Amino acid sequence: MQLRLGFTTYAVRLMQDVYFIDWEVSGGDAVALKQKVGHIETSKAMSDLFAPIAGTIVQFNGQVLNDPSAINVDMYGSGWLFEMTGADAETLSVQEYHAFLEAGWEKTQNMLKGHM
Amino acid sequence: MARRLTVVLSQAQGKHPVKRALEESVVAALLMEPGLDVSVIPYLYDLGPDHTGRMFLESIKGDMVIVSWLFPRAAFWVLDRDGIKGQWGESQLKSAHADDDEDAGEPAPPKGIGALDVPERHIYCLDLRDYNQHDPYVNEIRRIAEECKQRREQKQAQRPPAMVQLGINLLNGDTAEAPAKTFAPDQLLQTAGRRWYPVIDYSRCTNCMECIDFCLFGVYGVDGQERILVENQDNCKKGCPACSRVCPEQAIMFPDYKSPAIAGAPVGAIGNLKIDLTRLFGGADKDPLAQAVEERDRELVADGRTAVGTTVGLAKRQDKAAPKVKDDLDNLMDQLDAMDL
Repeated sequence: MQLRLGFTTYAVRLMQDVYFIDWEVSGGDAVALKQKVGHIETSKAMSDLFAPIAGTIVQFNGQVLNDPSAINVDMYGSGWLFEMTGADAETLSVQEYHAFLEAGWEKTQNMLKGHM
Repeated sequence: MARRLTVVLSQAQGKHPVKRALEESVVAALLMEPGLDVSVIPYLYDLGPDHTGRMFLESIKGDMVIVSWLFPRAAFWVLDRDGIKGQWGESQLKSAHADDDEDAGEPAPPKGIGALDVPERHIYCLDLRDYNQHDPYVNEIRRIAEECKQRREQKQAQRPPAMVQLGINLLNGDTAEAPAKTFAPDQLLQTAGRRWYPVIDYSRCTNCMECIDFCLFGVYGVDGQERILVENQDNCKKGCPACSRVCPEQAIMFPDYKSPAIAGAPVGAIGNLKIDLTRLFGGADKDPLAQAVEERDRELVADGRTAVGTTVGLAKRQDKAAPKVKDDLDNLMDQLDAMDL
């Protein structure tokens, strides 16, 4: 199954304007679940990026590499990040994702406030 | 009686040209200001007990401003550990990039054990990372000088008038505030080797002793009053912040650590530093304890010792234990307390 992956609105709201995105693997590479695949820097944050499932990277969105603003304005459309093949059985549905954010909200707040 | 305010600028480590330029412009601007004694020392955190810069700091008795590349909390408590104590001087310098909404709610009153034997003078710590030009620093130091002057005058006014007897040289506490010694600038600036050790914020520390139990390298000790102390600073393992993660009050700082919370950033205001979202975005979501255990094991192995994992020095936190129903014995013990024997 081929999947197209990108950031959620929530993630983009946390990061705000994306300045820079960088990939450490290439199209065709096999990646493990949670393997580090890249790095992002934004006006508010930075983070390593990880493969959400195990599989093979098909391609990265070259447009976003050149101009990451699409991530901010159209994250579910032209602001996609990469495509990969693999089984999506382990991923969350929209409802599950919302519940997941809800459950982790307190921890997230602490983290954002600089607690460890 | 125009008392002068001592301003000490602590340089960055290394020779970063941009940082040096800011340091120089701050010093140059301060030298033009009346009523200030300005000195420059190397990176405060690195100063060992024998360093002239540290002896100079120890010789300052009055109010002082430290301008450094450290978070104010970190600078303040580094000085405290070195025996250079004073009241916390509240700076009004806010990072230019800090969000305005940082003061969401008053901070909880400190429940820490506090510092001991704190003289009345105030120590103000300013962070050079807040602005990249000298004006805000100079303005803030002017404000501080005025604040210190007013505080002194107020104190003076409250003091009962002294009876001055002719022919007797009135010796009061003020004499101690005359500069004791002069230090040559080049002596002050002797290079200091890099150091790495934890710094305790006693306004947060509750003396729970979890750090002393956790660290297996003999860094921590207690003083004569059973208060936790970073006793053997240089036993600490470079780069390892494990005890800081174990501390339930986030009272332990490593001023050179990359994450602001551990380096001593005020909670809720990490200024212009970016948030690391790696944990939210699927990075290994290790809880701080697991991370601390891993870091400690790494250092143990590097020392040729055996990794101990979670078996040693981890407190069983009471509040994590499931509340148990009290049985007869518990009730009996509670009653004993009430009986006032």
